[in-house]
Amino acid sequence: MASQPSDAPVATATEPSHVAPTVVKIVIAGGFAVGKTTFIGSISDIDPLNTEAAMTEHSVGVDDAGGVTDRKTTTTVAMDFGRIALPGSLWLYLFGTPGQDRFLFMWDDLVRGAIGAVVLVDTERLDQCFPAVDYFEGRGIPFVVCVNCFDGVAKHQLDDVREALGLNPEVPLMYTDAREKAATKQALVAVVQLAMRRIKEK
Amino acid sequence: MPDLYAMQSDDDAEGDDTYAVRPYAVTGGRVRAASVDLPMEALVETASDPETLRGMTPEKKKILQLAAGQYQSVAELSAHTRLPLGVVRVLVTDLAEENYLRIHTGGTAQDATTHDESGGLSLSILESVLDGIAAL
Repeated sequence: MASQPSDAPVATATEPSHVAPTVVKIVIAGGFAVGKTTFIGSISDIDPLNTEAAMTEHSVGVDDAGGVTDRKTTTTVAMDFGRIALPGSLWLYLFGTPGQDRFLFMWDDLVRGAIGAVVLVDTERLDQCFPAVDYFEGRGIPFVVCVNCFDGVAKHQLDDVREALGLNPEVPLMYTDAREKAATKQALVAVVQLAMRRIKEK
Repeated sequence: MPDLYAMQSDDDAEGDDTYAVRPYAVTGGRVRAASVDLPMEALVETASDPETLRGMTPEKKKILQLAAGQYQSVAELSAHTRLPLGVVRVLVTDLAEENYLRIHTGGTAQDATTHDESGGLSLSILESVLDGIAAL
């Protein structure tokens, strides 16, 4: 924790007089190439940044000398994120999930403390969003589903999408255009409103 | 606050950020410590003078330079240093314990003041977020 540096190496000339911003986050999920980074970039103050988490995976195999080895291989998982400064010294971070299902376990770290999530859907590849929907449903995390209209064209009725995804009627479902700030705003507003409704219902 | 990047002639901000060692070598092989609970959105700010950076590993130095005079999240530090999130968590935790930087978890989701009694985010914070987004 940020204890006051009593025996700090040097007196802090750089110490800001103001209080650190309050930080909140919303997770942006969906399949590979569904537009998560575009969505984040449409509203972020900063160009979406990319961070990597190195995953160490154990694998047991046979080495060249014929002996059994306990091998570790490192895989990196990339996540894109953006940041928006809101009035009242609030910083909203938007974290995109790693696209591949096999990194679902990483999401626990990502969603810890999040307001909620936006699940982006490409109706041509509907199955790609199943893991995300299952994940958020299973953990009771507020989420909205946004059908990304590539080239601004909606190819499927929302009712059909809701049925195909088996979405609960309370899950907000809408069209979005990941390139459009106005559409992105609408999606984020819907998540926050849902999170607020959840609190009020408690 | 002097521009610390400018003091490094051999190292530009975006360019050659590769390190000659395996990522976790810079943490002494430690994967998790007290850093395990450090949220990736936790803000960090440097609390030390550039003079004290002598003898520090390049990775720690870079983190302190990035967070000098401005708040940086753990995730941003990871992106800018091109070090994996887990490595940055360990280094940031070390640097905070050594009083070189301050971690502001206050105000993140782990903080009681932004939370209601059940541990969820407080309604007042969410209202501010909602108003803020709507006004963008």
